[in-house]
Amino acid sequence: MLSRRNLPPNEVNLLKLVWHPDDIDVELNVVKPSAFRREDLTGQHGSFVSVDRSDIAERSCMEDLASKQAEKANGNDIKRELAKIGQLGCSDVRSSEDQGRKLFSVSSFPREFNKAHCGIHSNLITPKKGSAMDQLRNELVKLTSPPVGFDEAYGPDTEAEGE
Amino acid sequence: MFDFATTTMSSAIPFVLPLVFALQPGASSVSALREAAAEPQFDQIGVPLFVPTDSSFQDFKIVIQKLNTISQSSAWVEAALEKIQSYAGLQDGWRGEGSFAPTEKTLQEASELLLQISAEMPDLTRPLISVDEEGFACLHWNSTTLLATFSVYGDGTYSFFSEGYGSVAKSDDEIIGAILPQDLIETMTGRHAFEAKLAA
Repeated sequence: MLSRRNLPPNEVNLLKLVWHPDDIDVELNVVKPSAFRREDLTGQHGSFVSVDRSDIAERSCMEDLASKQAEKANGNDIKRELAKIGQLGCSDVRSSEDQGRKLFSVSSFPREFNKAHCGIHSNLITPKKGSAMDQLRNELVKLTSPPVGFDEAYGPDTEAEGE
Repeated sequence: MFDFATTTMSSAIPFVLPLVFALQPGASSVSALREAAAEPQFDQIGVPLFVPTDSSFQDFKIVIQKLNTISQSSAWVEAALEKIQSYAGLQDGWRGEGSFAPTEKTLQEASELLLQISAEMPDLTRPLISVDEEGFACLHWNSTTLLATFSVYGDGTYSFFSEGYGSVAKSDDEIIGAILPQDLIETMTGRHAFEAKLAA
């Protein structure tokens, strides 16, 4: 059961790490549905889409994550050339519904190294294949703003400038 | 491709007129053209020549834009097919542990579906193409009027969820190569909206 303190406020944005060019259509600058893993949207086994809440997000946490993901990509065919940030309004995600049924919930999962960590949960229990999965991804694509660079999402990296 | 700036009204209108009725059957377009045709004139070889009103001139511009979109669509189909084939070299594990590469059959079926959609609805904008960790292919349309996601599974089936022109269509087990569902076409083209407007 989620307690109220585990719920990020509606006013925040949810920041999602996406990769250029794999997750993004380069010409239109919009995220593709494949940016949202099917596994994360089944609504089962505690699955969720990892995001950071904007009000307490730290640039260094997302940069660490990007660095680890880029490292994993080395030696594979993954095209992770540039990490970017897509943003979803927390209240928009929570308001998203189909025939009166809320599609998603959002809760906080603070971690020792990342207090801003949150999850977008699917309220539908759905297999990886099928139109319900297509609908969930459609919806998240619709709610995600055009990806921007880290400077635009977090402000200039003052630590790096000071070094 | 039609060039609006250099195409003369007298040469284009007779050709465009049936298309106006076919593509833009809104009541305002029809009445405007009827108004323009009320006092027909003829050119030197007897082809009817219409004096354009402001509204029919506007309709003419819309149709030219539509024709340009259609003529450009073949370009995106080719590019989209190339994009699908660009995933042919992926190996299992391409997106981390447990990820699967799309099979040749999956990519072939995605291409077939793309060709069928583009043939049925040639005035669509280009789709976004991707594959995911499970090796499924995804076709996605994202515009101000349409949001549609198709998943192609490589077992002869696909699913879709399409939201456009005030309607929603979805299906879990469509067969690759079968006729596209009518409700899907309506959400992707808005044809039902035009028909309703015409009926009214």
